[in-house]
Amino acid sequence: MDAKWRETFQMWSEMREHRERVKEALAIIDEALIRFKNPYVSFSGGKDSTCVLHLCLRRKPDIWVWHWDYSRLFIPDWLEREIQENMRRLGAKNIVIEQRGTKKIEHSYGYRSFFAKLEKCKQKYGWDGGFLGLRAEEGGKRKRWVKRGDEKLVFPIAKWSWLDVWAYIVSHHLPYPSIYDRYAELLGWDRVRMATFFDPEFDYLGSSNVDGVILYEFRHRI
Amino acid sequence: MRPLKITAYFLTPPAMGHICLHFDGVLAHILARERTDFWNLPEEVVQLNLELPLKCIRNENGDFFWCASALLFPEWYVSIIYKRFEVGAIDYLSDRKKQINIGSGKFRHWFISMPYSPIPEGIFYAYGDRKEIERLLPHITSLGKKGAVGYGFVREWKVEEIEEDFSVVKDGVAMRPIPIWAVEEAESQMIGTYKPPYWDRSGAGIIVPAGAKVRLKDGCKVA
Repeated sequence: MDAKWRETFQMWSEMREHRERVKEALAIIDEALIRFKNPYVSFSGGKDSTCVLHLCLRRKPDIWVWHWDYSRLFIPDWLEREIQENMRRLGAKNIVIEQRGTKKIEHSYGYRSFFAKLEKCKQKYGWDGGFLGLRAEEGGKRKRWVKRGDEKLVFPIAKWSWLDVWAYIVSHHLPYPSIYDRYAELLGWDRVRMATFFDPEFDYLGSSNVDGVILYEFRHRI
Repeated sequence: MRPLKITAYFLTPPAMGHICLHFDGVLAHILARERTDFWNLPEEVVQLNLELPLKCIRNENGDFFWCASALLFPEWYVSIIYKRFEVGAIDYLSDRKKQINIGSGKFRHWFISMPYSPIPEGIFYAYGDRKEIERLLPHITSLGKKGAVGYGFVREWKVEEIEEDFSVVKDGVAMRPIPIWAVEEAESQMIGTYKPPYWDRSGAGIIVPAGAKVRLKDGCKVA
């Protein structure tokens, strides 16, 4: 991240609006921790889940952290290593990592194995609720999900904007995947997202075009 | 055949979904059109066995690559292409239609991210037949993706003869994807295609990508 953006986010982190949103997120977590006896945090490695994980660890340092590894079909090995390293640097202790199968590329197969493994983990570790870094700003579906609510899931940063997320990361010196720097150069810090790469699911958005330019070596890996 | 420098002067920036644009691919495309029905390329273009007006470097197994460089773009920007209600398809609607589906079908709305490089000109190097290349190039009016919506229009082509050949290697740097059998030493390797049609993954092999430092085997040098 260049100095100009770092300064911008730092300044935003000092705004009353941002501080209130952080306070509100912590209050949501406090309230959820009374309801849930054994919760978990979903951590994808992206900017939103980095914030949620950090916020949750502030309140419950031994909280379970669930990470889904999309496998080397969709995430470069070096990036996955970086994500797992970041998770530990953030202070996560009880980490559960599950991996997507590599037999099929279809996203329906990915979703099925994701939910099946998550369900197994819930039973195995006795998780009774979860924290998710979902934001209403990200799209219509998420906005509706946030509005509808979920009994077993809590969205502490649902009202945050992209500025809040980066301001929180910068002001708390949190580690974030280096891939953001590469993509932000092209897309801007407001539009940058970390999702799976060369994923047919996102072809309709032209994501593979951008991946083809930035992660050329990943498509043609040996 | 002679070493050539070919310059494409762009009117609009070319859009891409890949880091480089292969000159032999461009020539193969126009030759394939010439060999077949010009407007409707058959799917089995790969079977055409096109003879490009370029020097070819072959190995003992009959595998080969053409002596033509790829254009590497220096910088990228991203724009978004939107498609909204299509008035041209309005005839498909019947009187009874009450709601238009914008999720799929004729009236589907979409937006896609499209990386483009705002370069005024693109330089290719080739070792080939100048006259034949000059005959083929005017057919190419745009390069890269989404020519139909205005990206990558070529205003003018210029073909010059040069003294030294840079079609495969220039200053120790690969100017195009080079198959590993032609290489003595290389900085990096990956899996990719190295002859047209580049989209056909059945022709993929281990290559040295364009832009990597490389040293060719003695038998595989162009001149």
